[in-house]
Amino acid sequence: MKFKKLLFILFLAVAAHSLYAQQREVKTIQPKIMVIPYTKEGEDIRTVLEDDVNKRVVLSKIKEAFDNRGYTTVDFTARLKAAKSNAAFAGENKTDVKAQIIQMSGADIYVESEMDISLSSDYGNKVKIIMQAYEISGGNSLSNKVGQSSSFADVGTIGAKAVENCIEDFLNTMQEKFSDVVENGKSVMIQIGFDQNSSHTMSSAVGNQNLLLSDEIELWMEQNAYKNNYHLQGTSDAEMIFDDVRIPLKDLRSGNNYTLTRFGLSMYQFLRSLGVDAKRDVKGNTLLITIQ
Amino acid sequence: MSKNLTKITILVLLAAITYACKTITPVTNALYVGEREGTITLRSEGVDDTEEKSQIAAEQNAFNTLLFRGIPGSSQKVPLIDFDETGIKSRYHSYFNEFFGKQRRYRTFVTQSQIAGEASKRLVTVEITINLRALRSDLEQNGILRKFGY
Repeated sequence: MKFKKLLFILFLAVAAHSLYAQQREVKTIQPKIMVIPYTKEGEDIRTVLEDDVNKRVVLSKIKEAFDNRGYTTVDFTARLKAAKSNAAFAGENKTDVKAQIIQMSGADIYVESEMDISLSSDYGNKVKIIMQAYEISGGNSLSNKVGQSSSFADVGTIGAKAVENCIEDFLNTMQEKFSDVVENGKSVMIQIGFDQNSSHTMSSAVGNQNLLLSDEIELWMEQNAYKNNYHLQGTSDAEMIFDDVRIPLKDLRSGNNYTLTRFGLSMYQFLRSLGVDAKRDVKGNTLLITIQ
Repeated sequence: MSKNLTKITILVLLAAITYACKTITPVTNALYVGEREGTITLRSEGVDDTEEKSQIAAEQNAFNTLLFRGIPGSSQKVPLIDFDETGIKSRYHSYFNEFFGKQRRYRTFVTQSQIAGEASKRLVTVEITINLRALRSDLEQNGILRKFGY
């Protein structure tokens, strides 16, 4: 009888543990990646793919490589179609259209691929592929590689070959940068400014210790930036810009995903504790704090 | 009594010297031969008592180089897992025990392995083709390698 009781308790303990483990599973939010074609000055990103099948082949090959690593990318052609149907794009400047498609795609990273074709009837055609990955918000470069093909007649085939020759190396370099993010936190930008009607400036004395507002903010940043990793670009009476602040991917206490809005909330609570009211906005990887 | 102690000490010393002589260190890292459609071909050397054991040592040397050192000249210039070979192997002891141990699970990722050139009884050079894509997926599934992304 005792043994049965013991067995039952043991069963309950195992069941509770497995249920807890299931509940605790948190999926890390992954960055969205979009592969886009490179456009020269005067070229329109809206038509560059339609006009060239080889560029479409190269783009598909790059996307395929991401798929092979189990990573789904944002589809550029689908975003392009959505943009085309958007009246706001109708008369836009070509450069602005590219920037706007990138912005409205919701992607965090874009991979730009450039194709350089050398045609030769004597030695066969050759293709060089230049691939570059950038963080959309900060513009940080994540990976750059050049792939070259051997000689062959069909440009599409050698274009795909050129991608094959460098894509794994390209992805490995990107993965190294991702590992750095996992280890040292995500890089975000924080801009703190003032509302027109605000009675505060960065030199206002605030809090119990009557320190300058800028000093209080920097002391807080020192405590809250992940692994004390932050860079202050500059401070004036009117604003304070942190161009690189690292925040963790996961909340260190709960293990849940940690976002810039959560960081903004902590900063807001801190400012309130000093008796300073603020408004906050998040645009991509930038936190904008406006002190009222 | 003292004579016996001296004899035992000499015997222990002899045994230690014999064991030290038998310890084999890898000859070289694996060298890059080529890559194709998710596979990588390497040339690797192994040294052991017999030709069969030397071939196994050469194959394992190729895997160890790929996993913990990286292959210069290939797309896998950086280690597939990490440089910290000892730390990783002890942290995932059961996986690597199965991988390199008696079961030789690493062989399921070998698409081709053949002795290259003349093999002596102790030194064997193999040309080995590894299914890199499957190996990466296996390491990801077992939590040894982080999937692409954060």
